Formats: sequence, structure tokens, C-alpha cells
Amino acid sequence: MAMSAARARDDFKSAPNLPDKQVLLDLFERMVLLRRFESMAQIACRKGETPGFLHLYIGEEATGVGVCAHLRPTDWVTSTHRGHGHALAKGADPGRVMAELFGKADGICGGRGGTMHLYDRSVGLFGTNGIVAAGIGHAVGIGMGARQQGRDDIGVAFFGDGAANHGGFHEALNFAAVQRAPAVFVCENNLYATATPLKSITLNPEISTKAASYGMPGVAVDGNDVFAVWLAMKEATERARSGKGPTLIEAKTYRTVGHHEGDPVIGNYRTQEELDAWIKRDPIDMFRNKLIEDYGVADAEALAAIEARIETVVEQALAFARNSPEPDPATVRLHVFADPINPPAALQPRAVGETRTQGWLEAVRDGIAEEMRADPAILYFGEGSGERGGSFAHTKNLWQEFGADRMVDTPISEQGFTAAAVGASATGARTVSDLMFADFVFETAGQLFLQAAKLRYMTSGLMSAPMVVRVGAGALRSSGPHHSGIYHPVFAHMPGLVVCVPSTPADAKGLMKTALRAGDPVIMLEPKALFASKGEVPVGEHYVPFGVARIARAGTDITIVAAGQMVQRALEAAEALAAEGIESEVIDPRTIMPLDIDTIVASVRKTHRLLVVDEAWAMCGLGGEIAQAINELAFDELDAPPGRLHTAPTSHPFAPVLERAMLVDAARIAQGVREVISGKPPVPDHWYTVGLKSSAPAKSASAPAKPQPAAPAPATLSAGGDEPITMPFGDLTVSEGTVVKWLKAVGDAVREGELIAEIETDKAVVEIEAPINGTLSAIDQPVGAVVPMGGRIGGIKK
Amino acid sequence: MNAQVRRVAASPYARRLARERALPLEALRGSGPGGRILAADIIGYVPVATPDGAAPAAAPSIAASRIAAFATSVALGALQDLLAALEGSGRVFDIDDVLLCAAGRAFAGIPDAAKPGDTSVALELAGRQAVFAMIPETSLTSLRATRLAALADSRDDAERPAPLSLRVLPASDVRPVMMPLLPGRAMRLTVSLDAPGIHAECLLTTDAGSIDEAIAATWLSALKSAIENPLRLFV
Repeated sequence: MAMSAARARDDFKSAPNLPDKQVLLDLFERMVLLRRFESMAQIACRKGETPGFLHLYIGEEATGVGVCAHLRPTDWVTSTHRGHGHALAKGADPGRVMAELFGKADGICGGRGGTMHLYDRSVGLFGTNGIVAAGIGHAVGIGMGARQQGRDDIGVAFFGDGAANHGGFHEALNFAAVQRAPAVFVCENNLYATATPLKSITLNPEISTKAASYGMPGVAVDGNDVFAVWLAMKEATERARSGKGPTLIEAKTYRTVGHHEGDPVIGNYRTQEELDAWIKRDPIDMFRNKLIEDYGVADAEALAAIEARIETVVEQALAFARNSPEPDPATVRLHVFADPINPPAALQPRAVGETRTQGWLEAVRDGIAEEMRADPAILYFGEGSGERGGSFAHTKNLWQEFGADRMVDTPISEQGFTAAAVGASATGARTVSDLMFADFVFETAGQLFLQAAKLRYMTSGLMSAPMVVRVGAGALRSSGPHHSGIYHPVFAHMPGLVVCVPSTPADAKGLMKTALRAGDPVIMLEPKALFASKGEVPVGEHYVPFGVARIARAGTDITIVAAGQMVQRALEAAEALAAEGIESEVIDPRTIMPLDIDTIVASVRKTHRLLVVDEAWAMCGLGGEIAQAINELAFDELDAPPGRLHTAPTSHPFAPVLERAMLVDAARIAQGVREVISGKPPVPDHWYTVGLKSSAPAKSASAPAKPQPAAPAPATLSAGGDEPITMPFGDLTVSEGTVVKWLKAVGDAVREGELIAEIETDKAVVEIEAPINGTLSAIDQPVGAVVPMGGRIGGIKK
Repeated sequence: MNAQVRRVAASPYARRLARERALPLEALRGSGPGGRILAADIIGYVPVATPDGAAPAAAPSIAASRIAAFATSVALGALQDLLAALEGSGRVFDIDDVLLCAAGRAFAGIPDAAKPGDTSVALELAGRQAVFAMIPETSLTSLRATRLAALADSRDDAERPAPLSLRVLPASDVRPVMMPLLPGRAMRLTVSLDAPGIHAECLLTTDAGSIDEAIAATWLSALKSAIENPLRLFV
């Protein structure tokens, strides 16, 4: 597949393919700009004028300049920690880039980003990036988003040889190839990942050949030869724009400075001989000679005039940066979230209208479909969420309505397609990244915490990533250690992420619709345990605003705060307590960030007592957070110490009896309420200091294990002694099925394994086989009946 | 600090109640864990009889009309911002709509046992009243439509039952410190706006014979909270 090996410089010496003279002179001028700009920045850094690190591009200018010469302002480049050159090559203003390096108010990101986080929407600079390989997937999404919006703009990713061994590279390239994404991948192979030689960390150092793994063309070029880079990029750009898919370009080059300013130029990993050899191949000097001697398009004086003009530009840039004011410290809290955080649709006065009973998954699917109809720029990325309709049937019928271009079935590359979701959402599209289980979010945590969450802040509000991360979350019947977590405090910890934990189908739909119109990344944690629940859902446009709690039950004696599947447990406890004369008020915050603390405070002012119940763990968790907020905001209202009940501080065990011992149930909530009211709240034991003490007393913190049906009771043998035919236990998120067909009648002989009935669940049609040989003796559930899992539908007599 | 002084254990809420009632904590017995004084110990406190056994002064034999008054200052900043934002999206509400809605919603915070059977609100207009039946689900949009309709006609609902009447005074430097109750109304809320519209001074007069002091204070505090956190009124 590879187009060619390295293109030799001699290929075009006869220059039949030389472009217009001005194109060549522009390449020269741009390289001089990059070099002189960074030489000035280097001096400023040594004088202590620039805060933080400074990673210089000196020696590699030909690559950035040759690539960006083909790009429009509406194309985007993603970049690296060594990205000043990319920013300037893409057209960013030198004065404002320099001011950003100085951390000044007139910098292109207002001083919030700095050297490794330079963004400029006006020229298509997606950002230099402090995280290796993080920007590669952004370029994929940028291209796909542009295509969905009907433009032939492309995404171009710059990255180093170090990134070529990172999962972000492999996931992004594979996803881009299979999607024919309008993207170009440019690896600047400068031979060292910081100080680690490429040949010591891979047995295949020919990075361009890795493209073959993904079925895309790969080409290696002399990265110090700007015209060679220009030619390779010309072809790659045409391929990307014309819908033929992505290309990997490996530009072999060398930085003739240290890894960052202050780091030794040679250090203990490079030799003086190697450095000298590359300095002889300096891209600017080589191109100057060619322009004069090989191409004959300019003389030395003309080029010297260009260099003199650039010198003035760079001096002006430096003066501009020095004279720019510092950012105002009073603005430090700005640009974390959109202001207001809610989209206008979510703030419209609520029209009281018709409702209908809907299952959770159907309600949310409706919400997504309504928003996808209203906004053609919404793309949905997920594993199996295309034609299959999702592992939980949570995208059923969406692929049929919106097609494969919008309901994008992805490889199991959470990092790759979530990065694409970030890139697309920040450049005019909106995206859903469906990661199936909350536990899997950690496979792409960096894209959410370090890229999506920080984008608005790093750019002083000029860019943002309005994407939704959709996952099934929380414990559900032995889902086990890797499929049971909810983790909302982890996400809420990160400034810039909206975190939703709905508890009803109506709220799930309303929050999803709000999320698909919001301005920030939203982590939508849908409790799997509630997928089979039903509730009243408003018909038509229904938005639930972020940061407005719901009073799930009014009461006077104690406030219980609970979210997600804990809301129902708390309501059950409240009913039990009401029989004892204790009236509990249950507050469902609905969103963990923003958190409607005012509603909780108002409730505590009324009840004077508080119990926080939460499915996530206690350590640094919601219980401590809310209790301390009450100390700060309503101390004089407390008539008892606030209490907290969390899932036990363990991983989720598989055995049902262990899982029950770990989770909070209604009985524990009721007991917790009694203890708070008695003035002695339950004391948690999640600090793990017991083992550090000399004589650790055996704690009996866990409530006595109470036998409890985990699911609808399995069918028991009927009195008649026949063999029961049952609704089979299937997917964890399905609780019932409908009998759609009986293939046998009472009295018919049946053989073991023979099909006798069909059942339809939310996810599939299930064929029921006869469990034994015999005669069908009873049909207990006729066609159309809805039967819980494990429920009896008929019987067979031997 | 005198190390000899015994630390009295009391919940923060109990301390606040004792402070408001000028009760010395040392005089109280706590019913909580380790003798902690709780709110219930303050509320249920009965003073010990005086040594000479004198009975407290007899209540006046004539049942005088007893009026209680409560005042609070409500910040309007958040509300004004929200109204401006909504106006930007083409939805116009007046502060009268919001006050009416908030007054209705404030009844929801009262314990059911003490709640008036009817939670209608009578809006005082020039020389007449218009009564609005307040259902918690009533949206602000429909409330405003009803109010504008009432302004347009000339009916007088003075005879229709409603526990509360609401009077909105024009902005002025002078505001009342006491207002009489209107016939048939156990509560009257008088709202004085300041000239910049940043604060609303709310005066609640109640019939102390039929409205418990604590209930009236709770109601006024709920009203203040509803206006100062206005988003809830709109959803």
C-alpha cells in the first residue's frame, strides 16, 4: 500500500513539477518566520520572560510549513507539545502567539493556555497539546464532522515518533481508515521520544509502514526538505478532500535543540557527530541553496530581503508580547462552563401537558431521535450501537432512521472514537460517545478529563467540546467488578464536566435532550438497574435543566439526598419510616455537577437533619461533600450530625450474597435515618486505618445479611407435578418479555429441544424450547401476556 | 477562656433556638446522646414556677384582635437576571407574576396539618381584588395570562375566599412597617420595591389567632427562598 519509500531530493531536480515561484518563496518565508520567532522565544525564555516549559521546533520547520501550505483556514490541524511552528505555519498571528508564550492577556488563548495549549479557531488551529497522541483522534473527528456538515474541510494531525507507539495513534488510524475520514496524519519522526531512541522502543522503526496495518497509504519523506513534504501533502490532501480516506506521512527530521529549553542539546542520548550531520541538512539553508542554485527562482539578495522583513515581524511580535497586560486575576473563575450552563431550551417555562407511560430506554431513545432530527450535525459513536441497536437495545431503530453515517458503529477503541467525538464536537458538530459501561470510561479518561473538560478553559471560552458521554452505570445483579461502577464523584471532581445521574425515565430523557443542546461535555450516567423501569414521561419537547434538584418526597423530620437507583431505595425506606411516624424528605439532585445545594439547604432548614445516600464510594465522595456544605451554609439549622451511607469500600463482588452485603438497601437507609434522628449517625469505615492499629477490633459494620429476592421469584413446580416452561433469564437489563406466539397447543406431544413458543423482549425475540419430552399440559400465559423473567408460562407432563 | 467552664453539648439548631428565646443553655436538660441539648428540648421547655407560687398574669378577658408582623428583605438580583435572559428569548414576565407564583408556592412548604384548606392568593388592585387559585403545577406562563385577563376586566373578588392578600407598592423611599389585614384574609403580604429594583422589602401581617407564628415565619422564609432562587419557579 505504501506509495513509495523516501522521496529523494533529486526526484524534482529537473523540476518538471515545480509550482508557481511565489509558492516556493512563501515556503521559504514561512520557514524563516518559524525559525526567527522561536530563536526570539528561546532568548526570552532564558531571560525568564516566559513562564513554564518551552519546547522548540528548531530544525523541523520544513515539515510544518510544507504540510500547512495546502490547508485552508477552515481546515484544522492538531498538534503537539512542540507546536509553535504548527501554529505559525497554520497562520496564527505571531504577536498573539508570542503573547501567549508570555502568559499575557492578548495571547491567542488569553494567557490560560500557553505554549502547549495554543488554540485559534480563526485559522483552524485545534491546539498544541501537552498529551502525547491526544490530538490524533481529534483530527479524525474534525474531518468526519466537516463531512457531516457538508464541507470538504479536513483534519490534519501532527505528532512525533513517540506517539507512534501509543494506543491513541493506533486507535485513531484504524477508526479513520474504516470511516474513510477526511484526515491526514503527519508523523514528525525526529528519532527520539524525549530522550528515548526510536530504534530502542520498536522493532519496526519505519513508521510509514504501520499504515498498512490499517489499510491506508503510508509515505516516508525527507522532513527537512520542504518541497518533498509539500509534494507528499499535496497528494494526501487531495485524497482526503475527495473522500478517498486518510494518509499517513512520516517526515524524517531532527530537532537541533534540546527536548525543551534548558535541556542539553546532546545530553547523554545523542552524539555531537549526529547533531553536526543534521545541522548540515538544515531545512532553511538547504532550501535557500535550492531556490538560488537548483530552481533559479531567486537570488541571495531577494532572500535576504525576505529574512530582513521577517526579522521586523518577529521583533514587533516580541514587543507586542512584552507590552501586553497580565490577565486580570479576578477572571480566574471564568470559562469553566458555558454561562449560563443550561441551553435556552432547558430554561423555557414548563408547559404542563400530556404524559405517557414509557420504559427508560424507549424514553431516552425518543429524546435522542428528537434531537437528531432537529440537528443534522449530531453524530453518534458507539460499539454496536449501529445496526445492532446497542448492547442494551438503547439505540434500537436509530440506525434505521439516521443511517450508518450518523449512527457510527465503532471498533472497541474508546480512546480513538472519543477523541474523534471531542474533535467533531469542538468544530461545529455535536457528538455522543457511547462507551457502554461506566467502567470503560477509564479507557479514554484522558480524552475526557484532559481534553474535553479543559478545552473551554484553556481557550478562555473561545472553544468547547459539546459532547455527551453515554454509559450504563451502577450495580445490577452480579455484573461483577468490571461492569458495575458508577464513579460520578470521579467525574464531578473535574472542573468542566457536567455529570448527570437521572432516576426516572422522564428525567433521563429530559437531561439527555438538554445535554444534546448544552455547551459543555456531559457525562450521562444512566443506572442500568433502571433500564427496565417505567414511568410517566411528558409527551413532546421535554427538557430537564442541569442543577435543579427534584423533591421526590416531601417530609418534615429528615432530609435524605439520593440519586440514581438510590432514589427508589430511599423512597421505600421513607414509606417504612412513615409507619413509625418519621416523615422523610427525599431530594434527588438529578445532576451531580452542577449540584443544587440550595434545594438541599432549604430542605435541611425545614427538617434540621440530613442523611446522604449514594451508590458511589464514601472516600472523597458525595456524603462528605454535601455534609460539609451544610456545615458551611446551614450549621445553625442542624439538630444532629449529618449521616452518610455509601456502597461498601470494595470492588463489586460477583456472588449475589456478597454483592447484597456491599450495596445500600432500603433497610439500611431506614436504619441510618433512625440513627441520625437519635443523634448518632452511622460511622463509616472507609479509611482503612483499622489494619494500622495494633489491636484491630473486628468490626461488624455491615448490616446483617438479609435474604432478599434478587429478581422475580423463579417458577416453582406446580402442584400438578408438571415440568414448568419458563420465561428465560436473559440480559441483565431486561426484566420481562411478551409472549408473541405459541407453536403448540395443549395436548400436543413435544420432544425435548423442540420449539414451542416465542417471547419478545426489548432486545430480541427468544425461542422457547421444550425442557423435556412429554405432552404440553398447560398454557398459563396467552399470546400478548407480559411475563417477568423466570416466570412460568406453561407446563409439560411426561 | 476559662477552663473551668463546663462545655454544654447542644446541637447547632438548639443553640440558635435558645439564643432567639434568650434561654440559658445551662438551665436546660438535654435529651440527646450524652445529654446533648436538642431543638425539642428548647421548644418543649417549661419555666419552673416562681417560689411564691404566683400564677402568671391572667390573660385579658376581652378577646382583642391580635396581629403579628414579620419582615424580610429579598434580593432580586438573580430574578432580574433571569427575567432579562428570558426577555432576550422573547418571554416576558413581570415581577408581579413572580410574586404571585412565589406566594402560591410558599404554601407548599407549610406542614399539611397547619396548611390552610385553600391556598388561593388575592391580588390587591386599585379598589378591588382578584383571586387566583394556586395549584402547584400552574406554570408561570398561564399564571401571567390569567393575571393579565384579571387586569383587563373589572370584577372584584373581595368576597371570594383566600387566606392571603398580596399588595405590591410602587417604588418609594418610604415603606410601611405595619399594614392592617383585609376582611376575610388571615394574611397580608405587602411588597415594597426599592427604586433600582435590587431589593424587595416584604411585610407579612397575620392574624395571630389563626396563624401560628412559626408557620408565618416559615411561609415568609419560603417566599424569600423562592424569589432568591427563581429558577425553580420557571420549571
